[in-house]
Amino acid sequence: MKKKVLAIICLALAGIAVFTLASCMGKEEKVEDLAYITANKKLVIGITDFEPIDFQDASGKWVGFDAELAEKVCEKLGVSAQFQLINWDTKIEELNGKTIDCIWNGFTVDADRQKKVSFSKEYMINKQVIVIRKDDASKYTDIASLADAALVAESASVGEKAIKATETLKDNTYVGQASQSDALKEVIAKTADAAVIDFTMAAYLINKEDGDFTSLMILDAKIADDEYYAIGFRKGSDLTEKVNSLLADLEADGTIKAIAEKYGLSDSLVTK
Amino acid sequence: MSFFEITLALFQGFFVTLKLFGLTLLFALPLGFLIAFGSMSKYKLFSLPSKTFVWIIRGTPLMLQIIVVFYVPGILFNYPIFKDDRFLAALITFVINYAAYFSEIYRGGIESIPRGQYEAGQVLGLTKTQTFFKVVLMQVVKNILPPMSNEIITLVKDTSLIRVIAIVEIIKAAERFIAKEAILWPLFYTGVFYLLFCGVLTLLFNYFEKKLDYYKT
Repeated sequence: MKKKVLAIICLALAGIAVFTLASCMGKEEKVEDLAYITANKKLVIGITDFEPIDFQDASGKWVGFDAELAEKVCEKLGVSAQFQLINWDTKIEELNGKTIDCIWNGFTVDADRQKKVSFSKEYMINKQVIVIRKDDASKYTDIASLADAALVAESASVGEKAIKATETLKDNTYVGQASQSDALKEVIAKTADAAVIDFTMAAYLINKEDGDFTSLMILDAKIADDEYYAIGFRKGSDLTEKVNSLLADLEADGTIKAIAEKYGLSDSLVTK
Repeated sequence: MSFFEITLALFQGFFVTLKLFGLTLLFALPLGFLIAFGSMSKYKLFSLPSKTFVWIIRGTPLMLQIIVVFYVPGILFNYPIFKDDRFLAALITFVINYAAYFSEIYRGGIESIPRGQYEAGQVLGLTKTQTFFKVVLMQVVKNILPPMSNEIITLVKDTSLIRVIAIVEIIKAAERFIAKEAILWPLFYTGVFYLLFCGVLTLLFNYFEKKLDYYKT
């Protein structure tokens, strides 16, 4: 009996080990996604609530800069765009598990992510900002003054990386939250003093009248270099190249510019 | 957004919560019996898989099980079964998980009936099956009602775990208001929905317990 139990435990552990290994190994081969989505007749796009990038209008339709651009690209691909709400901290698992076909939701390009996903061309500029309570405006004036502040950012986000890369902040008390809005929630609840999140999101939430975040403000300090949004496809996917050429067409005929103007993002477009 | 609009939106989320709750009970209650009989079997062929199954399911967090069921078909086998139906992934996980817990409650209930009753049944000329269904079963139902109501009330709140695979149940529905409307109170307001529903369940179970309390009258 004892031997049997031991055998079962060993088997279970071996199973877990094999599974962990298998999911760690990066697949480098060419991924035939173009044929796959054409067969499915749809492109499943992983998004979150992120005004003005992706959000639902009163009728429940997904609109916003990325949503409209995605509709245009899908039209050209001859497939329908299906928007799937995801949790941002599991976006890579969703992509590799094929439960979504791309991440298209103000997805910031960085070196670590480049190892896991195939990025399209960059189409929008973004920056990371530090958000604090207005009451602390005199206490926190620059990055050096944040030395004893409790920090929060979205787990696995560029904001988190910016904190870890800043010499004076990297040893601060830090919490990685599930989403950017959760990070702001911590600052409101005073469980953290400063949040590092996307400028696009921060500006939207803080300036929303009758919102709960009006007591927050953006600190006038630069924590990281400008960064860029791009679409994330599966590593080695043949969709990247195809979508890049479609984006170039849409840029040439002014479609991208028109959508950007609609959402007040003209200044953030990448033109090159 | 008005209080009414938000309540309405939360009700949409709560409907998903209730759907998962109802369907899980529908399938897990009978499946639990099957596993319980497996665990109690004299034959290793049945009891060993049953017991191993219960050990694995009770020995790992429900949240991890949801993640494994949802992601593994796509990541490991390149076949994303739940691409168009995330709810199905959640339902399968919940049925399996709760069936394992229910089976142990059933087993405890059945094994708590003294052997003497089976022997008495035999003396009276009843078969083993007859003894079980005519003598034992109703006593088991009475005995397991309190632990079952406990587990069922836990199920109401465990449904909130499905937000890890981005299904919009009531808590996720409330969290979306933070990102969309920059308001926090709907998240805390969800507690009212859970409290009311669990209150109704508690009254219901109290009623059943009183009904079954036939020795005291």
